[in-house]
Amino acid sequence: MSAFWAQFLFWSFAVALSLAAALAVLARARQSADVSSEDPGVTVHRRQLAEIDELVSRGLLAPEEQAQARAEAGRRLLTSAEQAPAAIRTGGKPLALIAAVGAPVLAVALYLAIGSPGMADSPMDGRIALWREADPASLSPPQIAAVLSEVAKDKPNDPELLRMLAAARIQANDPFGAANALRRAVSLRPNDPALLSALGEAFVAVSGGEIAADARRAFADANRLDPKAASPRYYLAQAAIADGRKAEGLVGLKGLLADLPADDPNRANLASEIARLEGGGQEEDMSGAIQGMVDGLAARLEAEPDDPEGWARLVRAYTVLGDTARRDAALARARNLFKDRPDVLRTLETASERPQ
Amino acid sequence: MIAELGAFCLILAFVLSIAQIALSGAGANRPVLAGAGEGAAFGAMAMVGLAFAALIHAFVTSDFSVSNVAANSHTAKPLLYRVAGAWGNHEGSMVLWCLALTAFGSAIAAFGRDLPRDLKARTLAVQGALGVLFLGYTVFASNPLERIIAPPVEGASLNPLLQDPALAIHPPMLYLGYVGFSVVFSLAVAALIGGRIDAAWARWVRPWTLAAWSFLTVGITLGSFWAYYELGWGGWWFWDPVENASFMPWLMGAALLHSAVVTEKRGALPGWTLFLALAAFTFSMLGAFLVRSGVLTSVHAFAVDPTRGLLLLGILGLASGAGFALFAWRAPSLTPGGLFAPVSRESAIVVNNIVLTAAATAVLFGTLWPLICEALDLPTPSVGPPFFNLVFNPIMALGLLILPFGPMLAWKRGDALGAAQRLWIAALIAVGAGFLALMLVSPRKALASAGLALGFWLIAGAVVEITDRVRAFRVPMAETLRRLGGLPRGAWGSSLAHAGVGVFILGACFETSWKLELAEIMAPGRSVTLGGYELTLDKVGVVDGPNYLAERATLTVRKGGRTVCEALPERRFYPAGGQTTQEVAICYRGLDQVYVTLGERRALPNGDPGWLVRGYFNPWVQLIFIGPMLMALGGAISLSDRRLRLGVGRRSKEAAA
Repeated sequence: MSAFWAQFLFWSFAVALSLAAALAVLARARQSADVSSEDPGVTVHRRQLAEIDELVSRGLLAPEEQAQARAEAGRRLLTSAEQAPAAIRTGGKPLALIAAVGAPVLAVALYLAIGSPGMADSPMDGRIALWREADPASLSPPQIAAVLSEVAKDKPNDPELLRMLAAARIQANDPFGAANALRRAVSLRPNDPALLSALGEAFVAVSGGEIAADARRAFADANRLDPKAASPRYYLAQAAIADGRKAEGLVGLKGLLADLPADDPNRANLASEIARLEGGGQEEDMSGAIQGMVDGLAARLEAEPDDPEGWARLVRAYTVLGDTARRDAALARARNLFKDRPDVLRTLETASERPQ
Repeated sequence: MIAELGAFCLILAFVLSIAQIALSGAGANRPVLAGAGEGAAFGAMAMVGLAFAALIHAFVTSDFSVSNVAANSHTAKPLLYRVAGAWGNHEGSMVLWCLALTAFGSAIAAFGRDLPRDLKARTLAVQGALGVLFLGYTVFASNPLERIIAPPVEGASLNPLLQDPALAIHPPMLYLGYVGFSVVFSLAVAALIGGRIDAAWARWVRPWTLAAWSFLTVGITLGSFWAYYELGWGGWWFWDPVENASFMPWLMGAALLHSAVVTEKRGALPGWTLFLALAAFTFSMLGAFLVRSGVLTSVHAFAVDPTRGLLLLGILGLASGAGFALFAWRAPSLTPGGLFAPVSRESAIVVNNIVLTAAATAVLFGTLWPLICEALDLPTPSVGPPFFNLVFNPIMALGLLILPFGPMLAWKRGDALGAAQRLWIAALIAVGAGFLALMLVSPRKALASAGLALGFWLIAGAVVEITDRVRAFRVPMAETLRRLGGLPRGAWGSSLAHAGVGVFILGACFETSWKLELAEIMAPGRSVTLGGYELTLDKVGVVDGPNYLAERATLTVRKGGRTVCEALPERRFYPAGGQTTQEVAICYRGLDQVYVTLGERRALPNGDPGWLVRGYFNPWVQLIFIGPMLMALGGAISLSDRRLRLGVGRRSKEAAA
């Protein structure tokens, strides 16, 4: 639909709604022109009188109370009848007309000031349909992931598609979604080392770099199926080092380095990592440097406490370093500082939890 | 286009509410203008309804160009929660609030045929003014239909705790209650303007109060039930400020229900009834402010910036301030109504009102004091359940103790001795039940047993009231049956509501005093015992949810070796928001429940994986939720009483003619 027709349609509906509202006002005004004569207050009191008799006849009110109750209700009826309502005046049609016409006019004026006239709806289905037709190169990773996930709904049993979806989700910074897609892919093709390895990497991304149990399982399976594949070997070696089996890990990493082709771009990084791990003293330097950075952060926050992200980083650092006492102290300070900001509190809680 | 039409409708509703003030205000003695004002009220409701429908449409289609949808939805969310997401956030729920407000305005216009012309027109004018305040706030400061030029690819999701069927209906019920009191407020202000406050006015106020109070009762109960099974803490009331915010208008509404009866039947207490009518909606608005201003951090609170909170405080101050100023000006000129003796039904209701307002004041104090201290930089006291147990419970217990006497006393001058004589059987049942509880339930708890006695006292008292009214066992059976048939529904309703309070007290006392809980790290295959039940963890598996990943435990619950149910608690992880929630498993066992949650995975001493399982045995807990439902049902039955039925006067007159 062209922009002109979209605008035309919108304003047609807006005018129709305005007319309906104006009609509601005028129709009810016309309907109410004839009025009933009796004051409803008198009706209520009269009904109260009748109810007293009814209660007596049903045996729910003692006859001796009847006279008294009747007398009182009668007095109220008389008082009510005396308070005659103000005289009814006719007229007022011009004001009703002004309101009926003026209200929509004012509404349109206000809408033009604060609305987005003619802006089309943008439902997800429609956007995905547009992206499907667009040149993939022009799309952002989240858009590609959305398109692929839509395609995967029609072909739920295509592991290749799920692998592509996972790759797009990793690009779109959605490791959890990637792991989800890969788990489905692995269940469809359980003996594909590449899929298992990708799943392991997705798990690592989900847990923020830590190689947890589910990632290790995936890498171990991948390694069993394809002992030459680089990624599982690298992560299994890293897992061994994280567990304190440094020598075993180093052997693994060195073996991997030896097997990597001479032109592999990862060689340099791997070699320097091995060198760092072999120089034991350096490691202490490193942890000293980390401690220094954390202390610096703590000092900075002491000076400028209004930095929620900084506090979350500090808490996370203490958590990772295993320094519970300082973590709790920092957490308590930060909780107090941001106690009226639930989003910050939530981030702090997450930061204080040990990754599983 | 639909989103923009919705935005237009919301503005049109705002403008129609302005028109409603002018037309209805000028229409007190001009039928044409009064009618035009009613038309504006209908129009405003229809327009807010359409705007709300447009918002829901945007949620259902995941239209992230609508800012509210982008901030509060996600494509992976199941359809029901996408729909409910429309009112699961601040801006969207304001539209729901406005819808209720304009719907009640239309209800006055449509069903208020019994009201005097001038009172009806002024009520609609006041209702229109409330509409202008809240719609204005929504349109200009909290517009959910604001658009985003470059919409995000994915929404920012909704708090997974709020993805729950109870939450889909809890807010609408709660809002019908909160906002229902707006009608009562408008009727009070209109009566103060017109200067006519009498028995007839009280009768017009009563059905609206009953309806609002019943909705509020259902809303609060659903909220409590939601907290009970969704938060996984095993508790059902936490004296959380947001819970208190809904409880205060409920208490004021309950007081108003009773005082309005006195004003209707005897013309007495008109000023007090007016005061309560103004106070009930004031507390509703206070609740809205507390939840939305950002002064509270709570599971239910919408975190909203202070500016918008301040605006809401302004609305509250303006509306209530005007109402109470008018009251202060007019109250001295009110004619005092009928006199009554110290022992009479009126006096009993006065005591009821003192108790309920004292209780509401205690809750108000406990809720606001920490906030005030915080604002003044004083040391913030921690006001929690101990404070409320110490202050609120004794006040209410006192009121409930004398409750059964009220309906047994005659209007004007009652016979205390006679009432006591007729209630002896109820007292006997109550004391006997309390004594039995003290003897039989272990561990022995005197105060809790007394609480049970109080519950039985209320239920037996309600039964005695009905049997007394129909003179059961004193007149022939046929006569009793005839009287039973002729008993007005209002009598049934009030007895049922009073019995509901008793049912609730039974559940609350029993559950609070004798619940059992355990927390155990369990490996599959292990069993624990909990209050006569044996819980065996069979396995823990992984479940792929629509927008979460969960660990689900399968536990077999046995009693005496026989399997009674299978509990499937879950621990869910919602990646979109990075949150973890617990899904409680509940085994319903008569009035009791076995309540199981699954906690995090932890290693056992031998290195095997184990899971932290929490189990609660909650005896009689069902009564805690059944009791309030009985109260609400009692309200609904009273509302259907033909004496309160709206518009019946005219119809019966027409029938006679």
